Amino acid sequence: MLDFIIKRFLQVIVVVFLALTVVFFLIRLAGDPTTLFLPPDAPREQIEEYRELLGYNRPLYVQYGDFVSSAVQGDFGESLRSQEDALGIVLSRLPATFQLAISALVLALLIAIPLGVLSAYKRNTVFDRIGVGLTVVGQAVPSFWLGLLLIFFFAAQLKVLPSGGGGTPVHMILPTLTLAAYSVARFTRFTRSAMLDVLRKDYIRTAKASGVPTMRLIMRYALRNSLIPIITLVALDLGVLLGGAVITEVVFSWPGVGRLLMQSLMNRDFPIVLAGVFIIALIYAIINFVADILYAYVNPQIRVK
Amino acid sequence: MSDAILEVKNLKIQFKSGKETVQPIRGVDFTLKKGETLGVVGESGSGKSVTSLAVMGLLPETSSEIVDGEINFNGKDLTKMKEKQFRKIRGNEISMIFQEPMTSLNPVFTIGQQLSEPLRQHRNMSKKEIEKEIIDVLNQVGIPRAEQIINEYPHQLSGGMRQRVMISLALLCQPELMIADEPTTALDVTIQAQILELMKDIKDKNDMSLLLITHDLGVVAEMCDRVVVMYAGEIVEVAEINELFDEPRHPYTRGLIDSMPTQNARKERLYSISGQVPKPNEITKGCVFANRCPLAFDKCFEEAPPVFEKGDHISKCWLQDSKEGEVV
Ligand SMILES: Nc1ncnc2c1ncn2[C@@H]1O[C@H](COP(=O)(O)OP(=O)(O)OP(=O)(O)O)[C@@H](O)[C@H]1O
Ligand SMILES: [Mg+2]
Repeated sequence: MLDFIIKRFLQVIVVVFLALTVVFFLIRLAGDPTTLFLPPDAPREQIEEYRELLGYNRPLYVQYGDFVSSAVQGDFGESLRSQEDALGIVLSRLPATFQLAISALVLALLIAIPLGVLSAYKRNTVFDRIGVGLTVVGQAVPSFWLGLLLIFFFAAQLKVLPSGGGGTPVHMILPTLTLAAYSVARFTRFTRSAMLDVLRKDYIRTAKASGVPTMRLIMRYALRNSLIPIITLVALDLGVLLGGAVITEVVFSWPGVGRLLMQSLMNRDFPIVLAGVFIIALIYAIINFVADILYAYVNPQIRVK
Repeated sequence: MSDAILEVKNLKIQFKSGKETVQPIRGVDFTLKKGETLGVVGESGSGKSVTSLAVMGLLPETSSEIVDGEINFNGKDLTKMKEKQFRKIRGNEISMIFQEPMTSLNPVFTIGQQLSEPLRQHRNMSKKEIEKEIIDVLNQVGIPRAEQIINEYPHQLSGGMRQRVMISLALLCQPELMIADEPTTALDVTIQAQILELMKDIKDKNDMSLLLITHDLGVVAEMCDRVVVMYAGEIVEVAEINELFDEPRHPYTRGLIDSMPTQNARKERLYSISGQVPKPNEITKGCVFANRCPLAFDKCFEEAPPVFEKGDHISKCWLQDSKEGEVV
């Protein structure tokens, strides 16, 4: 088990490193940021001077080496715009992103698991059919559209909820719903099919043959077996929720990392982009790492050798 | 009647998948007496498992239906019983050992957790008492280190051990009737013999009745008092064990006996019945065995034979009919 943990931890480091490297070179393809920070009619010498000051005139590999050596010390440079520590800015936005992602995840799980279980138990009934239909719709609706739709109804028409911004719990309702919709659909379908799969198993028949009542059969035995694949999916999706909340954050002006990343990319504020990617990649990898350990925990065939 | 623990009468079961319906069990009758071991033999696909699952009330709820017949257990018809009452019988008065020891235990629960279930459902016992009882039964079925085994998971045990665990699961509430569906088929030969021996012991000790399902006549000869021979969802012959081997009346039974490997006479080539059991949807009029029967004649293809009874010996073959008079 310890071997397993160490091996998976090394993978985390490799994944984060690769993500940073790819993004580092990709954003350089978009050109260097100096022009954006100087007036359009700035003389050539001034631009050159500025590039030299920031180090953008050096060969790319030198810049990369420089970036890596400071990054491993946690130094991603300063924001080109505000001259504040880039990592610090990103970290200050992290709680908002977490808040949104976690509440969306919790909401999704609270709705999806009971719904999926019930759907599987009542398979092929009207309830199940409607449920499956809704999940198909839920997965197909793009989040910016759903977000705008919710803003239209609840903020513009009914005027009961704010259309954007952060701060109070009321501000969280619409973005959480928007972000959770896709996961609800995905988790419900997945729970349903995992449960159907498990309910057909010989060991469920064995439990029934021992006189276990239906409710206990489903809630204790079948659900526990279904949790193994569900945990993996949830972990993957938490990563997606954290990193992929960009659109929702932008639509609702939610002050999280996603929106910051988007704005910084527009401004070519590269240090912040890289620091943001670092944080998101790190979270993503760590979540997967934790999921694997959790997976091993619920699946004794991995845990107990 | 009073000495019968289980009476299956004219049982008919059908399965639905989409628009298609098949009826793999078409009118099955047999009786299991108290304290008896009744063997059910037949080739793969003859309907042994479906019949036994019906007795346990474990047929798939949505796709199967008992269209006709009765299953009387101690005089109560199980086919009409409400799920709530039936549940009180399962694992308590009737228990079952399944054909597949490798997949019949839940991989994410310990042996102890799974074994505690019947007692938890049917007995009013504390955790401590349950654990003690489980260890007792595990010792009874010859599992070493029972105290440790209860904290282990199924994948840590061998196939033979898992089947012993399944047997102890079936034994925990000291059922009146135990159904064993090919309990040894998935195991290798030496383990097979041990498990059969164990079941015999346990049955005698606990004063149970045993319905033993197998396709192996050797197992039947070893274990059973009487035998039901099943073929393609019907019962073709029922007889007391010695009579079945000495005077088989149905050509299918004869075929099964002839295809048994025997230890002393090493035949050059084993006899086998040619052809295969017809699928439930391939059955037409006439005797179900006619297309494979070496003795079949015109009538066999036209009309299904009725049940011929001679004392306790029952068979379903036109050759019993004195009018045909040509019993081979
Ligand atoms: N769930 C099901 N749905 C549809 N048909 C089924 C189902 N279960 C069994 N059958 C059919 O019922 C027939 C009898 O199957 P059964 O499993 O009882 O055979 P068996 O005598 O136990 O054979 P084996 O020796 O292989 O265990 C087969 O033709 C099978 O295809
Ligand atoms: Mg079978």
